[in-house]
Amino acid sequence: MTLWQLIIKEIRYQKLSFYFGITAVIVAVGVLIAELTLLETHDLQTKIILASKEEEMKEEMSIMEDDYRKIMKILGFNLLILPEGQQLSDFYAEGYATKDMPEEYVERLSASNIMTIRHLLPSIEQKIRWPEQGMKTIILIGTRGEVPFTKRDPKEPILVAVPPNNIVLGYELWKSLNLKVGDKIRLLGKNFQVSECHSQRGSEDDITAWVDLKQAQKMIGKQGRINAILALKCHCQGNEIENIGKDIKRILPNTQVIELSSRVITRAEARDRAKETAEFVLTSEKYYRAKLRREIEGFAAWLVPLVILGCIVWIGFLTFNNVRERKTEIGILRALGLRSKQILFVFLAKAVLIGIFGALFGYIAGFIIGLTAGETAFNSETIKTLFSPFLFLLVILTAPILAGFASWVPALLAAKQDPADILRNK
Amino acid sequence: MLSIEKLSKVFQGPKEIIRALDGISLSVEVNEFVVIQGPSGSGKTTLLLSAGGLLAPSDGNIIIDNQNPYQMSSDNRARFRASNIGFVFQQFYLVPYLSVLENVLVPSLAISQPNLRERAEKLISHFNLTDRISHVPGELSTGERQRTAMARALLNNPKLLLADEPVGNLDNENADIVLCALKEFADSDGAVLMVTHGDRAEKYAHKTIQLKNGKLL
Repeated sequence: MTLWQLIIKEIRYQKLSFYFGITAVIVAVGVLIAELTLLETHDLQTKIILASKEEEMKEEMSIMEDDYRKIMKILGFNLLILPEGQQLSDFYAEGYATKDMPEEYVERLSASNIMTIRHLLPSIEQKIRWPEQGMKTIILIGTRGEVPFTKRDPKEPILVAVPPNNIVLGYELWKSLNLKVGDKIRLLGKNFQVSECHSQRGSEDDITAWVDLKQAQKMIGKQGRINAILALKCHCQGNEIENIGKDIKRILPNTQVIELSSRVITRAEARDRAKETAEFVLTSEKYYRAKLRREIEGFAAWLVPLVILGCIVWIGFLTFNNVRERKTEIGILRALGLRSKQILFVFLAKAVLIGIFGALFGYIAGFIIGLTAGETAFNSETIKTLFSPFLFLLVILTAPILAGFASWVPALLAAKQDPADILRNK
Repeated sequence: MLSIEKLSKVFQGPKEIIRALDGISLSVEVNEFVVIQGPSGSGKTTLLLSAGGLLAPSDGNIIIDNQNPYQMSSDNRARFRASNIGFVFQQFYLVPYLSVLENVLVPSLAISQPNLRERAEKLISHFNLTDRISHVPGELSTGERQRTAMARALLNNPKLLLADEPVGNLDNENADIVLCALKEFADSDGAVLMVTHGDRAEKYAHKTIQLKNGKLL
């Protein structure tokens, strides 16, 4: 006969009390594990959703970039043909070409059979003082509009020339000088009629005046000279700027070709916009998932401790009741020589058994409930992913300790009972 | 075997001090069966529990086998009880969920001795309980329960047997069986101290002493 046999026999005799105890632990452990599993499934699902969103976004960005690439291919490059001797550093510093080249270059290009350029816009540009307006600094651009290609069918020009004796003014100029369309003005001794007033562009265009090319050349003393040819909607095999550059240099050997930044900027902006959109969607999803997690955590934060506390109280009550019912038995066992430690062991061991069985069944129940109620599919793969041997072991070890803790006071009362008191009172 | 010298025991009642035992001295020698006879409330159970090392006296000494159990620690006293003293009570105090064999073996939880199971089976056989060996107390008659309690008291081969009204709930036949067993134990180098309010044990006892109001007459 051993104490364990005595404990097992008593458990069999008082089945209901033992089942009540186990049920309490099952509920406590079940709630805890179900909540943890719910959070685990939530995290797993969050990972899946975010990974899928990221993949989706990558695809969308790729599609978007491809779309932009195609659009840009349709739109073509915007090129600027500059004199060969033009230092690009000066060009970028001044905002226009400081060197010039013969206007005849544009005629040569338009008469060629080059197919990679669609529109040609020659211009002369120079920063000048406007003596009639208190030496105001302006940019004067002379343009003759688009130069048609002589070997191709005529196309609708994308830019219209400024007619002679007309002037187009940038926002800052007409605004500061209080001018409007139809007003007459003098510039460098020539009379012009304001034909158009541009709205604000937030660039050097706002201090620019556009006039007829010939008039501009004459005004700044550069007759028959231009300093840039803008080539719009350029196309070539594979969209390589080098190919177009080679074509142009073949016709105009004393020039250099640069690509205007618009295309690069457009693509970069498109990419940035797509990235921003993707990041916003991902951030929103992350925020929503985190919020949902906080809600589950918040619910668990009061439910789990409450249930565990209830379980502790319940086991304590069951043990106390068990001690009360077995008072005579405790008395006779003590009279027959059992030590108080052995009596303590009898009650604590029972509580530990309740804890072990309750934790085992509670873990299984909680895990199944958590998986069933969770967001992920209930399959062997999910079980493998979410099952934590460490947590299982922790629960199996902790629950008996808590059950023992709950039973400690009544078990101690049992151990401390005076057998003489019990037997005398009987 | 048992020597009680000027034993007094007082309890604090709700209003006054109750003197349950008042200067009792007696001894029970080996091979002796002593019966203390007295009415209810005379202090019989208090005397028995004090003699059994379960209730510390207010005054006086109790020596069992040349040792004072009350000078031992609680755990050592428990071990001493398990090794030297057997108890039999009127209410039997059997563990309700244990079979006859297991109930008889309960003292083995306190102290381990070789061949206790064989000894338990012999005792069960001796008390004619073999056919009830696997029965729980709820399935036994009153006499069978008391015989089981007797077998339990004798399992650890005690030197002193203390019996509190062991035949109080028994019919004549079973009472005789129990009293015979007590006498038999005393005759086989044991010592028995029995308290009772009846006179049934007189013919088995070597000595019968009257107890009244906590004093021996």
